[in-house]
Amino acid sequence: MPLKDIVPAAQNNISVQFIVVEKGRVTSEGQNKTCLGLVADETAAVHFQFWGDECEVFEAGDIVRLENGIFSYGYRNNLILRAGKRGKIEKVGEFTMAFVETPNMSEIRWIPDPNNSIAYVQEGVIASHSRIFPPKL
Amino acid sequence: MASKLIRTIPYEAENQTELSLRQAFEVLELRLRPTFPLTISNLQEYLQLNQVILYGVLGGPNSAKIHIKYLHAIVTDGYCSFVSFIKKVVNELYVKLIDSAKGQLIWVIQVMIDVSALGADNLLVSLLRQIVGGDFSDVLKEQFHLCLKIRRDLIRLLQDLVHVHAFGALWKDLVFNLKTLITDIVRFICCAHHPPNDIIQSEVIPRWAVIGWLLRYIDMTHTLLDFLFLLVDNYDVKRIVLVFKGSLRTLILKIVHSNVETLQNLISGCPVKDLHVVECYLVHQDYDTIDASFYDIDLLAG
Repeated sequence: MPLKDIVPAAQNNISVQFIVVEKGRVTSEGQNKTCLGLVADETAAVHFQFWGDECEVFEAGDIVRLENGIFSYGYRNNLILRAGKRGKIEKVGEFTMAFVETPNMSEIRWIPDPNNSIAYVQEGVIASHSRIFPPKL
Repeated sequence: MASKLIRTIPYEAENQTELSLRQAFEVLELRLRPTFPLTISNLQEYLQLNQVILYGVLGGPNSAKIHIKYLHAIVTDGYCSFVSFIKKVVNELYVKLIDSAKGQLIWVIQVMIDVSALGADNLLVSLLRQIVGGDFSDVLKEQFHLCLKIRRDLIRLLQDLVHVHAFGALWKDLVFNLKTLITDIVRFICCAHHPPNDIIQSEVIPRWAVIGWLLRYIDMTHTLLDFLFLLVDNYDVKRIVLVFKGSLRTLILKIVHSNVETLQNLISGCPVKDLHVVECYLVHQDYDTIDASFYDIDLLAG
């Protein structure tokens, strides 16, 4: 599944492969460590939340496969992709993978689908790229 | 469950190459034990058996020889499949292999070379790309004449490695111990290493100087030249004119193309009669004398 096709949902239905472009600072959320990162494939980028041990193990440049991940609203209503309790992330390689930073799926405004109340559709673009991890030129 | 051949970090995905070897081993491990059945029903089974044997060999030295004997018994393709599985391991797993598996890998590659397996040469090239550690200097010393076939790249490599202890010692050995190695290098420089004219004309150290240096004495360079003159006189007395003209023209060409800046060092020790002709060219640009000397020799030779 390409990253550009992910849609927010309250279920672990996202299996994608991406490269870790950048990692932020590790912070503590209650008892657990979390860390926000920018990840991307050749179609789109998105904010990914690493959890617990994942924060230390994964680094920028790692190519990662996520199975049964979840794309949903987290802390402060930010849209993030994460493995969640039912999902799994694995390092499958490193260093070389084509990716784009636009669109960033976390920087898109989503509204409930008028035809299907449990689904979301894109309403507009908040920012062309990550405002947390702006592109480095 | 069979143990892993590679080191992994937490959250690292299964490596497909290693996994397929390991799974084949789990399925067919019994075939590696007596009675060692020799019947193979199809190609698929044959390939799988190759994988199982490779996994068994990499897994440890204890029964590796038995596994290889079994391979020798069942092989029907000149070891082509087996080598291609090894090559996959070299290309995709080498850096991750646990140390014992690395040792086994080198061993089994040696076995493949010994049996002249199909594709063993390519396999070796792949291995040399991956292998970074290790001491090649002993191998190099033992098989220097073979290694010289790598030609000038080897000499360059040795020069680059001169500060690495083992290779520095080897280089010193080459330079200071007059052994057959020296003759090999001299032969290499004379016969195999032909730099283009612009290199020869540049500041790059000339080949003859390297030879002189290898032979330790500038006197040896003189000896080489004496040898040349001796050849001119005695190599083929009936065709002495041809030999002399050829040698002289070569010498003159060297000057014309500025390959050699001065012959002063070379000719200071050579017989006067030959020197005279060379000087006619060098000092007086006197072609008449040269032609006359050719004429004299022509007469002499009848």
